[in-house]
Amino acid sequence: MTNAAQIRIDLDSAAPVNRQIVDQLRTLLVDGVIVPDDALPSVRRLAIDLGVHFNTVADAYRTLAEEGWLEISHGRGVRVRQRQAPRPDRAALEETLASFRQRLRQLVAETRAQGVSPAVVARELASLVEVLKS
Amino acid sequence: MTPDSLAIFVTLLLIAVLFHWLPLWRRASLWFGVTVAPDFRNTPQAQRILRQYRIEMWALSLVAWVLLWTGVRGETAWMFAAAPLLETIGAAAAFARGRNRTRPYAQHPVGTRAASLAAASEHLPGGPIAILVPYATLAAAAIFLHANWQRLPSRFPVHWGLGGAPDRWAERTWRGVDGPLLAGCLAIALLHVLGYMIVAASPRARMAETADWTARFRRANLRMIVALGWTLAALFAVLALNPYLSADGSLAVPIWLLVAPVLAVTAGFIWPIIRISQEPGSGSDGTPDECWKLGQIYYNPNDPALMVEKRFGVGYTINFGNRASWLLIGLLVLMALVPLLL
Repeated sequence: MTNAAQIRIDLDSAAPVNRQIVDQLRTLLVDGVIVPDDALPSVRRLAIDLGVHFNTVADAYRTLAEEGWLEISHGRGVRVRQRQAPRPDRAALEETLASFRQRLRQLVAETRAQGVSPAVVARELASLVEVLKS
Repeated sequence: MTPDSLAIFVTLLLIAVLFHWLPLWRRASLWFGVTVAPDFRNTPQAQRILRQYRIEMWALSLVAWVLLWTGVRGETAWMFAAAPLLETIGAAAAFARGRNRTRPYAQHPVGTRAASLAAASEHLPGGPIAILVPYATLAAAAIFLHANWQRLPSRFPVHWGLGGAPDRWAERTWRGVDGPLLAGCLAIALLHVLGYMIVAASPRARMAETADWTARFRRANLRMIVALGWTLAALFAVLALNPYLSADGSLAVPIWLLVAPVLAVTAGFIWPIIRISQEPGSGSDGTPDECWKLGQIYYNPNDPALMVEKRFGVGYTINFGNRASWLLIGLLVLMALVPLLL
């Protein structure tokens, strides 16, 4: 794990803190910043460092454990698991993609509503595509 | 003037000098316990607040000296204790007033907090050996004293005035001989408990931008705790060995040679903490201003941290909003009472 492995939360954000933790950890996992067998800070440690309730961190870890990313055990703490990518059937895949498109449109609309021009949004999406291709 | 009263006068002066500088030994974005802009401390408003604090603090110190002087002349013992207390409470009150004057310039702290997932687990500096050496020193002293039991006088002094004259005596019993060692052991254990609480239950860095600063500040504090443990062990071991070393009951080691190392080690290890505090870019500490009562007492039930950085003073303080803090306070009081009950 590199020093870039960091969780940042915004207490002023409308998004709940446990959601912010889940989203960021998932991004780090998908991007390979955190890899299988890496140990994550304990619930207690991360809660103290972030200044949020223990249950908030525990909920976030539990969500990721249910998704198959983490293994939580009393003796070994929290570790990243070797996760097999799920193989959804055609209908489930369509449903996932539909949900993705809808969330992406919402996010683009939200970003544009804050004054970001369509060209800038397009550039950001293009750079994301490049990252995915690489 | 007796050496004892002279020592209290000097102590009062040292406390006043300490309080004079104390508000400056903070993170750049904190001024009198209030989160402000990093360059606020250089503004005329900030300097005016500091000046007012110092005038009030020195005025109350002066009253404390008058109180002590009156006590010395009239041989009124309670004034000896009241003077340092008044000086300390006075400085705390002046700080609280300074905080109220700073509040109009408060800035809403940035709501972004960060935690590293890669940070290595932290320990007290020096590891288990550095922790065990002070206890081993005291244990060695105890073994030596018991091995030479018959050579110890049947009655010997265990406390001396600042002039070096004994003023409290003990018999050659396990309580009398081992008492100072046990007291030392508890004092060191108390330090180690606090050190462990800082390691285990205080935030390592809540603001990503100041993570490096915070890590160095923590290490400097933990180093001081370990060093003080060693110094106290040496001090209590020498005191416990005194009946063996001195046949006439006087102090075998001059009192200045006992006090000087403790002061030197404390000053030597506090100095880096002060230096780190003076560095720019230290930002804020990530605790909400409204949870600091009078700018000094941290009460935040929503913060799982048990210990947080002080906003007035050097080191760490307890989060009184954490239920575990009362257990910790109870433990500390119990440890402080044990030597008195023996």
